[in-house]
Amino acid sequence: MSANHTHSHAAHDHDHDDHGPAKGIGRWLFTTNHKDIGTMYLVFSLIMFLIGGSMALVVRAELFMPGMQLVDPGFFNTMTTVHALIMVFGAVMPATVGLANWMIPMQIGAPDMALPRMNNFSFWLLVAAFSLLILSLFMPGGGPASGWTLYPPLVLQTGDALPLAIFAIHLAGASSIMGSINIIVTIMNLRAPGMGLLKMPLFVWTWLITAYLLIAVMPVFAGAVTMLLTDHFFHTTFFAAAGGGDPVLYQHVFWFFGHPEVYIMILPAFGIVSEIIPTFSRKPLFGYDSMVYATASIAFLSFIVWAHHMFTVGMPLAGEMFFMLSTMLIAVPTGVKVFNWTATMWKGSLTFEPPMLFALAFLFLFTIGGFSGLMMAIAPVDFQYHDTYFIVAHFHYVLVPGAVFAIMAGVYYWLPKWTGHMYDMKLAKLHFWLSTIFVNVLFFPQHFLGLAGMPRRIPDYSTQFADWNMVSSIGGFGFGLSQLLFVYVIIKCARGGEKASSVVWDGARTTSLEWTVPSPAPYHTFDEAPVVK
Amino acid sequence: MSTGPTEEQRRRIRRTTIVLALVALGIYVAFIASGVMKAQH
Repeated sequence: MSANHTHSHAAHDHDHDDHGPAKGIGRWLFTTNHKDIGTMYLVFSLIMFLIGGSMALVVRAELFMPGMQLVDPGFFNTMTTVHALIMVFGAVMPATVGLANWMIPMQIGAPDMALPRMNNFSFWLLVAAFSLLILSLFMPGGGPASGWTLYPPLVLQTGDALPLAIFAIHLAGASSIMGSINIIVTIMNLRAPGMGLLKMPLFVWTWLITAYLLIAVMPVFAGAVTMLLTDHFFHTTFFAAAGGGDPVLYQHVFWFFGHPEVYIMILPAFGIVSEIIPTFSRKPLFGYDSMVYATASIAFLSFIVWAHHMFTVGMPLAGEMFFMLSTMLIAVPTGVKVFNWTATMWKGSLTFEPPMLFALAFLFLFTIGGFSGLMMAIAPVDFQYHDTYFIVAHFHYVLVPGAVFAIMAGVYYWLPKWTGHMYDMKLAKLHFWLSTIFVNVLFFPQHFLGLAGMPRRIPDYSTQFADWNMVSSIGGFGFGLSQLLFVYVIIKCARGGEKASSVVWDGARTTSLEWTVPSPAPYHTFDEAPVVK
Repeated sequence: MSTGPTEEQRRRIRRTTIVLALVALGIYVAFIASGVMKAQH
């Protein structure tokens, strides 16, 4: 975004007793305010992060030593499955939607989201979805245990939990689609006068592209699970070879959704990091236009790489070559982004507050995940890595010190704007260092385990894998416990602390409109649209 | 009090919403239809 725009100061700075938030529980049940809904999304995702994290700890506890110790294998499989579903659809995605709800209207100078009542409905639909998914754990036969990909025919052996889980996925998908429509119509219709598309903050850009991705691929996943449902209950044979169907068809349809889904989680993270690095480098973002084009290129390429997840099903050589090369192409726009973030810091006046620390860790550690992804793109090599812990290490590097660290960076960046208070910097930095150390202790050894041949999704393993599994589990518990500090810092900040100024970070002065409104941001932000020049 | 969208903005919001919802529904139906066709071959 242009660093030298001016705007009529349109923020509310008078009392709002006449149309402020409602009192009591009704405020949260019926609110149509983008800030309230953003807060609910963020709190919901934090709860899901803790629940999904606890499931990961069950997995790591069982894998601490070879032999069966704590849980039976079926429950172990349920934990790996539900952990993934919760983290992907219940933690990471709603967290980025929460940030979008809070920040997009403020960054584009809009009074609220374009469809406020649908916004409320999207959120509560998500609560219903995850209540159902968690309830499915208590159904006869146990929860879904086929992995988050829900591959048939294995998934069709699920007990009574299957319809619950599929209904949960449908509801979560409907919620995502409604949320995406809301974000697109808000950005396309409610931008402040003078804010052309190429003046929008990068976070808004990345979310606009993400929202289009969501509308394109969530219905694909919904279609795939609908076909699973009819195969299970209505004797269709979409995915059963005996009836003329094809189980590999499911894999194609799933990954046509599944690969863009990865970018749905990471593009908003790119946007957050693109906001933070310029602020703490005290320089405008290097290569703004190329960042936008790189984001769009990544989104486009995400549609033509899906079969790299299924090299081992057996496909023609030309197919393998195509998906191998198209996957490698993604490294080009991603490299542009990493270069631009680095160039933004070059000769900048850097300081290392918690948002910048998390953004820097993102830059280094996400890149490790990106590089291991490039290794897997090479089809003949992938035959060795496929379904090993190397894959587990790769996608956790992309999603934890990648997406999750960027979300934490965003929370630490905007928390003073939301609450009006500065948070405890020392505790936040401690949270950063503990998280960064333990996340590497947790996931880096999984590369070694995978290269040595340890398969994923197994509750027991050969003794040759014992040492690194023990190290990984120690890292897991350390990382999990460190997050309690994150919760404490947020709660402490929400309850009080040193007053935050409207600009909050001195380097943020010229970056975007949210820094022109007081901290905490008023319940209704803009009386009249600010003018951007 | 915050100013809401103008009538023209409301019209565009409604139109875009309907188009995007139809696109999503169309993709959902198209992928199931592709499964039906595959199963019939």
